[in-house]
Amino acid sequence: MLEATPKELVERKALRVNPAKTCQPIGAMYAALGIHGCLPHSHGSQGCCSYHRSHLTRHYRDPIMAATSSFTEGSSVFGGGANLRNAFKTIYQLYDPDVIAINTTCLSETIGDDLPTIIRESRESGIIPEGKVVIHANTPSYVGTHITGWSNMTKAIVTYLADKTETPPETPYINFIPGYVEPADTRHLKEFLAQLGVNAVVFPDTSDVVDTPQTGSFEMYPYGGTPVEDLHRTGNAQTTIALGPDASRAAAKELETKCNVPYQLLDLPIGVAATDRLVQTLIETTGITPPASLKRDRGRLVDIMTDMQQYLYNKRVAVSGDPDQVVPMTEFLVSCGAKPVYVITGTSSKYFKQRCAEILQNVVPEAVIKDDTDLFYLHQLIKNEPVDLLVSNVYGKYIARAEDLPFVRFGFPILDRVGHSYFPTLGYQGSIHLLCNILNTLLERKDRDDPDEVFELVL
Amino acid sequence: MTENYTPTSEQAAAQANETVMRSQSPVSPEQTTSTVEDIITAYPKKVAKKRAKHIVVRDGNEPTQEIQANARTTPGIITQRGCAFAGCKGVVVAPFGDCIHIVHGPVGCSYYSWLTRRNQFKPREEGQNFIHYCFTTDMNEHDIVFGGVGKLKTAIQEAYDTFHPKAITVHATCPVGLIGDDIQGAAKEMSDKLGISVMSFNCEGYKGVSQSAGHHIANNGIFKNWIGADQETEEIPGYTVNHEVRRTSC
Repeated sequence: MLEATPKELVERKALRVNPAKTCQPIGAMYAALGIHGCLPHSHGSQGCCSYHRSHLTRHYRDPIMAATSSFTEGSSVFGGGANLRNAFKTIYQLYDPDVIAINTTCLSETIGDDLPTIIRESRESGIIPEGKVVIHANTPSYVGTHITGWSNMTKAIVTYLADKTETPPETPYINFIPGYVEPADTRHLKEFLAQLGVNAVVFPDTSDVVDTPQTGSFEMYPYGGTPVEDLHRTGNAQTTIALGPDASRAAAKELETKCNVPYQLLDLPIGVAATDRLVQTLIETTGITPPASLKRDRGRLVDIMTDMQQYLYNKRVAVSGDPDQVVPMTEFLVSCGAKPVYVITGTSSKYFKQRCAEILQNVVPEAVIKDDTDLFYLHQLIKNEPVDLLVSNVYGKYIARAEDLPFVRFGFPILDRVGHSYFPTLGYQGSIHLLCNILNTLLERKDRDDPDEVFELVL
Repeated sequence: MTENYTPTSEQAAAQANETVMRSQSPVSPEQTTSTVEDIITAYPKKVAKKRAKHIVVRDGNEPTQEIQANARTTPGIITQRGCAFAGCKGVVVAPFGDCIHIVHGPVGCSYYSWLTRRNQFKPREEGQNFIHYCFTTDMNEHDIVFGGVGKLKTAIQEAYDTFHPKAITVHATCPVGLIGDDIQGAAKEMSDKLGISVMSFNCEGYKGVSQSAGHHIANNGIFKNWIGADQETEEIPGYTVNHEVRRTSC
């Protein structure tokens, strides 16, 4: 397995090997699924749409629906305007979505298709029926990563749909942007906000869209997703709390620019400290008092951290993933006594570099922190000085097998296991689940490796 | 003797299959026709006209009946079809696990075609194995604006220096065709420089009606550049491509 990977590190200028990122449109498509009654539309070759749909379907194990402009050689020369107008006609007659969220691709971006004009003209000529919402995000695949795509589509939701009305709402509420997370996380965060008594518009919300129940009949537009009326309301909110700066900053900023809604950016609430910061921010912005049940949840997380700290203490960990996930994961591992020695991401991110350096500079000064890199590089680091645990998305399993490492699947995508879309990893409760997963993986390995005389019943 | 005959489970299954195949369809031809009509009338008029040629009810009295399958997808239809790149790199070329396949384009195309078509590749003894790797030039905005040939050549050189493969293939993605990167020229230049086969495929995603265009591009590329090109005289055991070619040409 991966025998061709040399130990010796060589600087590469042009060749990316085993990427730790993918392209913008898939993130945009995922964000669009967080709008109720929305059909994502990929403006480019049909292969892009098929790849994104199949990848999302494999990760969520739910049918992901999206349409495409199906570009040909002709559209590549003459532009994709005619394709998009045809697509509108076909989509409205066949699938009749309330919302179409268009993402571009490297092909349509290189051609330079002017989407706002095509959409405006289609509306004027009646191709887009009255009352139907069409939004778009520019998501050139050659800029940024899937996180950028998610960020751009979430921003587009605000640009197109957020309204500020003269009369303030009777009951104040906040906006809550959960970040590029699993449907289970968004569902859990909504419960978490309800537990605290916070009134919020949560968007984009992919729960009950990509984790739908089996009912025996196919629902083209499932129950979930943030309703458009709620998206209009975001302009009148008291404040915006945005989780995961790389994914959610753009939308929060747009709400401030467009509707004067102030915002706060927070790390994803993975672990005690990050969740504490979220709770503290909610207390300060909405004036709520945390209920006793929340304190007990927190206590349970602290309890398991202390009960099991000997198994994580001083463990060398390699973490790979998206910046918003890796930063709080690194903080959480440090708080459990582990040593994240290699922390990498495929996305280019100042946030990632700064926050990881802050978290690690005193506890793991030797840590390698690198953004805009790949899994090949991480494997080379591990070959030079091994680790006790690898935390990564599914593509890490090849490194784990090659180096015989305990492996925790974390982040996007996970194509070979179940549960990631059902069990949250955010908040106090989600962190308990995440920590159990990490601990059990290490204990499993201990049981496998321990000789008979130290093979223990009680661990 | 026949009354003592007990068929094996395979024979029983084959018999059951045969029975089903020969039995009359529980759906009447009228029902089929009306269902197909329902499907086709759901489309906008112009689209319906095209779709009527794609979904055809078989009529035994019509010897010239044909399904028009090799046609473009109507924009807006939720299609399962992929692109020429997916057919070329993803389907046909990727299972050649002992050479390096570089995707020249933004990162996504290489990512989605990574490890999804392994065909259980197993290297020969002492053979190289790159089946679990993903290689791309990961083009950025600068490369799209100023051209990516230089980056591609550097990537081929870096792949050669790090992995020493016996062959490298290069696969074009949509924007590469648009900006006009000469990948054929780059491949030839690097092939001459490195002394190994570097083959390129102009399998830009927008070509053809689906991934089938990519199968065509890949198979012809392999046929033209590799098949029969091997000067080895020693017989290699197993079902190798060149082995088969030698046998048929004898």
